[in-house]
Amino acid sequence: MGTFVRVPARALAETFGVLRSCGRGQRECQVLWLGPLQEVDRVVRLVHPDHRSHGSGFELESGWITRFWIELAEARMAVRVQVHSHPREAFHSKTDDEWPIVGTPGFLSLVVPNFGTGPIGFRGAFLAELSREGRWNRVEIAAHLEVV
Amino acid sequence: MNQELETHHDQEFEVEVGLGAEVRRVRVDPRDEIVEVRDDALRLFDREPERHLFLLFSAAGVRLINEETVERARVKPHERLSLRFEIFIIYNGLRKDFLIDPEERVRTILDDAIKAFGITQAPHLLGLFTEGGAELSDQKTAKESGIRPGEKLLLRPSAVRGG
Repeated sequence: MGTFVRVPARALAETFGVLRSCGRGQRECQVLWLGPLQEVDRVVRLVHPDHRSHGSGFELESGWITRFWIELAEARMAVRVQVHSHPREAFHSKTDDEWPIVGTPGFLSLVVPNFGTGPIGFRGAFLAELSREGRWNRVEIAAHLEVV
Repeated sequence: MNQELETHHDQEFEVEVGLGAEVRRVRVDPRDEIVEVRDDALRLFDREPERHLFLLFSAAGVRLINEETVERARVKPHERLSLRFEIFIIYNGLRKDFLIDPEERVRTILDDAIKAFGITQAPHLLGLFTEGGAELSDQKTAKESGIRPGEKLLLRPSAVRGG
């Protein structure tokens, strides 16, 4: 069964806008989808973390994570899905497996191909869900994400 | 058995109350509520203003209920009670309360937090950070790390990467 999240079409379009403008077709980029703490199936806004990136990876600024963690608690929000771009094919790399922002079962990680320069949507994208055993499993996007 | 308890509990007696490595002797009446014992002990430790953040534990490590009497809580003469204080740990927007002993290692607090938040992925890459962004050393105690009653700590990954 797993996690099911509703994502506003506007948030999806905005995500592609950020991946494109930040990555400029040359660098990876990450966007986080947030939802209210008490509504696990809703995404209501996105954030674009401060990060360093290159053609095949990125790392968030540590100070940004600290500030963000405090802001999340104050706003009573949680990260529901992490989204990042890959240069070409979308998949969950070893780095993606080992260094997510959230490590609880059911957390979703969406990888978008071609630095997000393709059509807005999930074509060619890869979605992984964290299991109770701490393993990332590839899952059907349509079964876990609905654009509303 | 009951007779023995009644004998112990019909007159005042002394208990020891520890806060980390420090110990104070507190005189209690069997009819006192646990909260009174706690407040008396905190007065002796000069920590009374923060009393709402402290709780008493029995020698067996059982949390004592503030509203119960000493007699009902089955506190024995000369028993070594201990004080623990409340801190708050935040993970992915959620805040949970933890009761800690000042001599407890940060590693133990970290492990308890990882379990409480149900984190299954790469727990060894998580750390406890202050709100100022400093990561606490696993090997130090809460006291050595300067963790204060009521403090907010962040449970977060030491790094977030993708590639």
